[in-house]
Amino acid sequence: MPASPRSLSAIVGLGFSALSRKPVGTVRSLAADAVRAAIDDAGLALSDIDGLLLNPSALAADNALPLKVHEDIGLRDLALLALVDAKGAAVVHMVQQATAAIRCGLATNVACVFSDTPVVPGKGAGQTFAITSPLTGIAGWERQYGLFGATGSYALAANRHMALHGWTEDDLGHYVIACRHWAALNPNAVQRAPLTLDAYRASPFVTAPFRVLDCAYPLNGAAAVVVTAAERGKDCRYKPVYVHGMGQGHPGRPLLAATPEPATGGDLAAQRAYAMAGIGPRDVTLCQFYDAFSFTALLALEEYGFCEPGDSAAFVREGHTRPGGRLPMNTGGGHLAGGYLQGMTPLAEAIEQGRGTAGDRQAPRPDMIVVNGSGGQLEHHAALVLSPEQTP
Amino acid sequence: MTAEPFIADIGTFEATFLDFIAARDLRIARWDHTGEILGYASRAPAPDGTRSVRWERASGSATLHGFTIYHREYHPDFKVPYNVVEVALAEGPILITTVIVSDQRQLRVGMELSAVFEPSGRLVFHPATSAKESA
Repeated sequence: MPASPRSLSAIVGLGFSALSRKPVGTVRSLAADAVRAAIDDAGLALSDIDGLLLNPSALAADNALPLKVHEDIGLRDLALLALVDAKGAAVVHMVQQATAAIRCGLATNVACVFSDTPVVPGKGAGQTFAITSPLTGIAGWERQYGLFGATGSYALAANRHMALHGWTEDDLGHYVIACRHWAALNPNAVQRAPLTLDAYRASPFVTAPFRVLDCAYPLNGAAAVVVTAAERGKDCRYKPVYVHGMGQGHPGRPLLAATPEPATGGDLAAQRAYAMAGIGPRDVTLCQFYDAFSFTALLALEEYGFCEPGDSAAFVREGHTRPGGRLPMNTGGGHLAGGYLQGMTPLAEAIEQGRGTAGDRQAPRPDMIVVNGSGGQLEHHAALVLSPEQTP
Repeated sequence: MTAEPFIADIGTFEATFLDFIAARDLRIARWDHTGEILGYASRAPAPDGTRSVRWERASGSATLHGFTIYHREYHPDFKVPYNVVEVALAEGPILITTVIVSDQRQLRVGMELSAVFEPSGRLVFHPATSAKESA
């Protein structure tokens, strides 16, 4: 494995609020709970934290997660406080921004939190996400055709990719099944029952080709991490997970431009993160990919250089991402089976794996972990390369 | 074909497109100086720094670029199953729209389509062989 140029920062704390499909608190109160838990997990005191980054869900009510949440937590005299909005890439952005702030001396120990309460009594979780998807940029255009929810806009992209590469609906199902294999080993996963292909096929369509089981399983709750300087990581309670590489990709080409297949930006984020870490895809031993839908994880395998375009379906079908496979992926069950915390799910699982605390699902070689986030309609991407090993 | 100088800033670009649509006239936008065809979400200036576009009448021919079939009802105005599609106009731009078919299983990526304005003024597409009224 090539030597990484240097560790950029260390993730030393991981904390959760209550997580549930029932009401368990407000976005604001859950965020405060998760941040306190992450600070405690790091073995730090409130007074050690001088930075706080907040990521409310893009679908949350305005001001659901206000800057003043730092007062609820009991954080004083902060040197860094900001909301971070990058859709599904925002959690990765927070770690990147925390790292940059620490490395330039703006802050010392930065807490980053995501919080959301999408599951409302009497209303299906899917309904919460069913706002009109503005793909064209023309006000009201999609509404007249009933393009509701990310599930619709992502289904368009999935269907196109599947047609170009000759995939069948079962190819999505094999990914969902792989997630269940991992979830069965994760006591905190929300969908732990084994899944057969027949059972997958029996799952009702939402927006074909997506079935219910192709979609993330939303939770009410919050998760937080604490980022500190790499050299301070070893002083904390648990084994740090070091940030070795970071990258983003925002192609800036309209989704509906007159180009055959516009790039999503995932490849840009991957190449930039790999370059910063001094590695390539062959050095990666573990992936935690943002899978709001089954398709996005398959696509990420291609964007991040593990498969040629179109080959990810066979790669997953052959079992390479399952327990015992050569590239363990979404080892907590991912967003589909582990629970949807919009980017915190893959990051939290990477931390558990890097620490070596993932229990029965612990991957044998969590040496070089790729975490990604993607959002919008696949047009915003961010990536981290993490490792339990510090490089000077 | 018309050649109408136009400033493609946010809002007026949309408004012009929608004005044409309201007149049951499907147009594509092309940079005046470079000739490059714009996507309907384009907002950036042309590579030469100008922002003048001209709107040309589209042929109405298209292929099915991608589609999804809604099976879950999110709004009472849209009874399932119904489809939402991306069509690639013959000139290049991609539009969100729907294809009028009697059976959703008729949809295939790559199938040829023709633009039609419904009596309500909504732009939809029909399979090319069954188009009744070209846009």
